[in-house]
Amino acid sequence: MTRRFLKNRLAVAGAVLLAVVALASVAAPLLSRRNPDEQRLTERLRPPSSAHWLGTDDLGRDVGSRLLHGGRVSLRVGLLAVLISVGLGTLIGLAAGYFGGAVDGVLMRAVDIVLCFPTIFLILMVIAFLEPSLTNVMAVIGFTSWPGLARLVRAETLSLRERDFVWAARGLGLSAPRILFVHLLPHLAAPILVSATLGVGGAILTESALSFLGLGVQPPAASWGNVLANGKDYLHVAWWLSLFPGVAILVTVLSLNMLGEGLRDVLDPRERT
Amino acid sequence: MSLLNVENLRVAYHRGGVPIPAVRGVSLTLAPGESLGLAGESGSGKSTLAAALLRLLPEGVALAADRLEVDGKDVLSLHPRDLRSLRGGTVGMVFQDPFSALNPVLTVGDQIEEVLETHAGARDRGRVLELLGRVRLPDPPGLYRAYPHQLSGGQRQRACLAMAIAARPKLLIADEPTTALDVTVQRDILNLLDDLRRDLKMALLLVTHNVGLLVERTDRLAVMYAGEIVEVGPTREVLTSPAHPYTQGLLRSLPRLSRVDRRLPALPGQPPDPRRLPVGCAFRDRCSSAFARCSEGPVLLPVPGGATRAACHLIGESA
Repeated sequence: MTRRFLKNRLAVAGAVLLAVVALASVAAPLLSRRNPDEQRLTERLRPPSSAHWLGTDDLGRDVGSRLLHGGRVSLRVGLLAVLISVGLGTLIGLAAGYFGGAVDGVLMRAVDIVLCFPTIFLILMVIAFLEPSLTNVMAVIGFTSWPGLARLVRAETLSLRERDFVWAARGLGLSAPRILFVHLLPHLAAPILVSATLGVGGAILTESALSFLGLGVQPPAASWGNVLANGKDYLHVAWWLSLFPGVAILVTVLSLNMLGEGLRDVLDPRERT
Repeated sequence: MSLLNVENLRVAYHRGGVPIPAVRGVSLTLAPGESLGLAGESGSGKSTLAAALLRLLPEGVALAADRLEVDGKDVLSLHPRDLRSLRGGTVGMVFQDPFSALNPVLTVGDQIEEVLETHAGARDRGRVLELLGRVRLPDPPGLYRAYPHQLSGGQRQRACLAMAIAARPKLLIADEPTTALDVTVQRDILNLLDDLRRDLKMALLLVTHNVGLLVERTDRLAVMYAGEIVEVGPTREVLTSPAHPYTQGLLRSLPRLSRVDRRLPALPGQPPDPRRLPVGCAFRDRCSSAFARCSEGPVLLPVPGGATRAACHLIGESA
């Protein structure tokens, strides 16, 4: 398994890129020389230089520092949102697939209903009612992005539950929760892992879009989305304000997608050619 | 009091709204400690019958019975919680294919231990090791940590047996436990099954399509054909003087060393399509002694001069 992963260039490249982004974000306080929120109005809109590698913004804040710290926010939102969505999707998919009948009917209709709404508008609506905050953004992204995984897990569970070892477990009196979580869940690890990896990228994009629209992480706290949003007003005088956060989002989401696609190839024997 | 008491049990699968009867009115009883062989060809309903005793049937399969009692409990009306304690607790079950009956991602020790935890309420590594030794697996501590794919077929079936007897069941149902195994291993497993039954004073229901395996191993033998028991009696009596034409044909088709040069006589024809069973006796289309009365369904009648009962009109004729 490890060897097959290392042979897969896409997966390895994605993992390395992601590791760089993650390390830089985690070590942000060590790597950045300035407080990301510190304003120096005498140094407004400076282009990239040896003092400010990625330039400064309209309030004289160091863009490099803000991006490093913003990365922590974006990655955290991505991870926690996916944790919620993977948890929900897995639970709902397992229950629907294993119990079937009315349980399946009700849960899959819930999936259909959530899938009816264009996600971004649903999120916008919810955020408009609640107040925009980091927690709300994470929760809303998490609670709207589970249906895809739920369907995937349900389909896998439907075929797993007819396997002999599941019948044997039932025949030996094991409880449904034990069969679901001890016997079935390990067989679902691969599709869940792939879906989670791709999901983190999606969640980061959604968070950036929300922050760009001013409904996500609120200034002065930095996130890639709101640094980018701030930069759009100065696009004609300070290109670095928009370019660098854009690149940060691009690289992170790209690396997650590469890792996810790579993992799918490595873990799913059916899709190997 | 009998451990197993079944009257008129019926199971039907449904395909496209059409019921396909798999078990058609089976009655049988089993006393504590008694062993019963259930023989029949593929599709005769013997495995379905074994699974139905624990209501272990897929969704949408219709199960009905005038009486279905295991250890004094009415299985059909049992609360799900009590049904679970019956499965694996009062009744242990061994499945046909040890290659697929164990979960490939969990260790053997874990899988036995969780049966213990379910029915005895505690994880107990020492007891698992004892069980592994009891089913005569070498190096219990090593196998405890092993994954199923590291074991041979015979070893896996022994591990399954350890799971089945973990909760000291009163009845062990073994559904073709040796079919997937090498011939040399088959005898070991059956001997082990025999010894465990005696040591643990369990009743045994041994399902098989190989009648030869049952000789000397079960007290009684029931022969199934097209979802019905056509003959049931003491194993030795049924095997030496079969009363039902189907049992006779089945036994004639067994290879014998004294007749290696001859072609084996096979039963003519095919088992009937369960959707289009003949009226009356299900065997009459293949039976060389069929006569007019066979269009009325025969019932199990005592065979004169023995303890066997068979469902054939010839018995009434000869008496």
